[in-house]
Amino acid sequence: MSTVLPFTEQLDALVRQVPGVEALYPAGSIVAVVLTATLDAAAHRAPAAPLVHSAQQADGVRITAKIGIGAAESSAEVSGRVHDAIAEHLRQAGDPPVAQITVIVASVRLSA
Amino acid sequence: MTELTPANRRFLAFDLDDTEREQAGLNGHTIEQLSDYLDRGRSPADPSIDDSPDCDIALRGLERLRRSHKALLERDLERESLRDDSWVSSILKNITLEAHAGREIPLTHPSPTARLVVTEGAVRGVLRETGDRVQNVFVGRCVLVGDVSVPGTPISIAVDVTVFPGENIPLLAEQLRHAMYVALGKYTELVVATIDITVSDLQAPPDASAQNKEH
Amino acid sequence: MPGTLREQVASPLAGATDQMLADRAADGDLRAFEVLVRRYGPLMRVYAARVLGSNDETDDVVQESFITAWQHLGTLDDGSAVKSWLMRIVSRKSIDRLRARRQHVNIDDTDAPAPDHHAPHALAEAESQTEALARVLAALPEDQRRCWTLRELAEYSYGDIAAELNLPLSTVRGLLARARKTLLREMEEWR
Repeated sequence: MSTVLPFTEQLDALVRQVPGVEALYPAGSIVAVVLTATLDAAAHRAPAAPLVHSAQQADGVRITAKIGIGAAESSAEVSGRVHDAIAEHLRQAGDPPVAQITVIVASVRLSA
Repeated sequence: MTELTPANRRFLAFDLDDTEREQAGLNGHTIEQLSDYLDRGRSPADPSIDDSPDCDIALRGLERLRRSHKALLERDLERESLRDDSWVSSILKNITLEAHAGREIPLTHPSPTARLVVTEGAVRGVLRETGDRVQNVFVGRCVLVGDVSVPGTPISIAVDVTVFPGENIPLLAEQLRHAMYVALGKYTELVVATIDITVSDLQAPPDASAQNKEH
Repeated sequence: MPGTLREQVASPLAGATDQMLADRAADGDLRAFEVLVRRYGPLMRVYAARVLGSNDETDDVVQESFITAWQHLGTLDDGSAVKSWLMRIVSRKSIDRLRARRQHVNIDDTDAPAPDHHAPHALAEAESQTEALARVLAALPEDQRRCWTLRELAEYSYGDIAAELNLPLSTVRGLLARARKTLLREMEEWR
């Protein structure tokens, strides 16, 4: 089960600022995402949970970010940059052991 | 034969609860049978209906009901189309890309703890948009065939396209194939052996009047 | 979220066939799906409002229907049948809503009479045939209205209606016949 970690609060903003990132999607489990979306829709409010998903597990921290990118650069470049930004952020936030940083490119927007 | 009876003669020759009275008033038929008769376009012709003044009045009533119903539907649709757009955006806001994300296609990164992927859904999106940029081509379904999750495994791609009449199909297909290879090279690390393009349908240039209710 | 969602559809997709739109939407194309929403959403809304007998829940039902459609588009074999497929979804959602409502209120309003039997003749002068039909439709007993709407708006066969409402075919025939006769009689009254 995931717990909200102290350094995850800023991750959404961090990822959004990475050049080439055009969208940020909720990265939790599908059930959690749909449930949150439904509850949020029912309450007419913005999603409350962070979009970048983080979990502390036995082997270390697991972070998942799901992004949409623009046309200018390749998926590998942008997702690599997102990965590096998250890794750097973790280093500066106490350098916890990292199990995995996942970056999912979920959409590519070719048209301006 | 429609003039056998005055058009303004009222039709009240049935009882909601009594089928026998209904049949007695309709030359042995029921309203339901007459309605089915209309559904069939009054064919094959049934003289016991066509030659009955009472049936004639009932049929006219049924037709009037249909016209009114059609007018009512058109009125309601008209009202709906005048509504502001918020209902569309609230629907679109509540759907997620999850449903069509498909498989995850790996991207390389030097760090052992990095897992970078592009989704199959995103790749299909790239193929569609690439196709849409080629003039007079519509890309339909795109399928990635093969094990996309193992880096280096050759895969193939199957694409359905619609080309407008009069186009040079081989030339367009080649143009499209080239553009797709370029895009796949940029946004994925897939090893694409072939791109099979099926021209599945020829259609006239889109005619907005045909089906669209929107403005 | 991506800005694409809010953009008006100005693309050639607006004129694309149902088949093309359904195929693309099944592949995850939001723009194609938006065109389908605009193309059939109004009919689905009219339909839901008729079945539910009110506008209060129409938005919810249609929204739920499209969310379901988006998730299951991949299961639709023939994209050109997307209209009837959507009508089927909205029918189901509307009927579910009615059932839930009934359980909630715990009264059987199936045979609720038309609201205080208004005098048709007096009203006739003030309203068109169309308005009149709308009023009589709304006043039909719920089970009749449901059958009628499935038949006339969703273009269901008698058999499909029976399956959908879990009723014997003969009952469906009876309800439809009764609805038709009532409408016919009321229409005559206004001439």
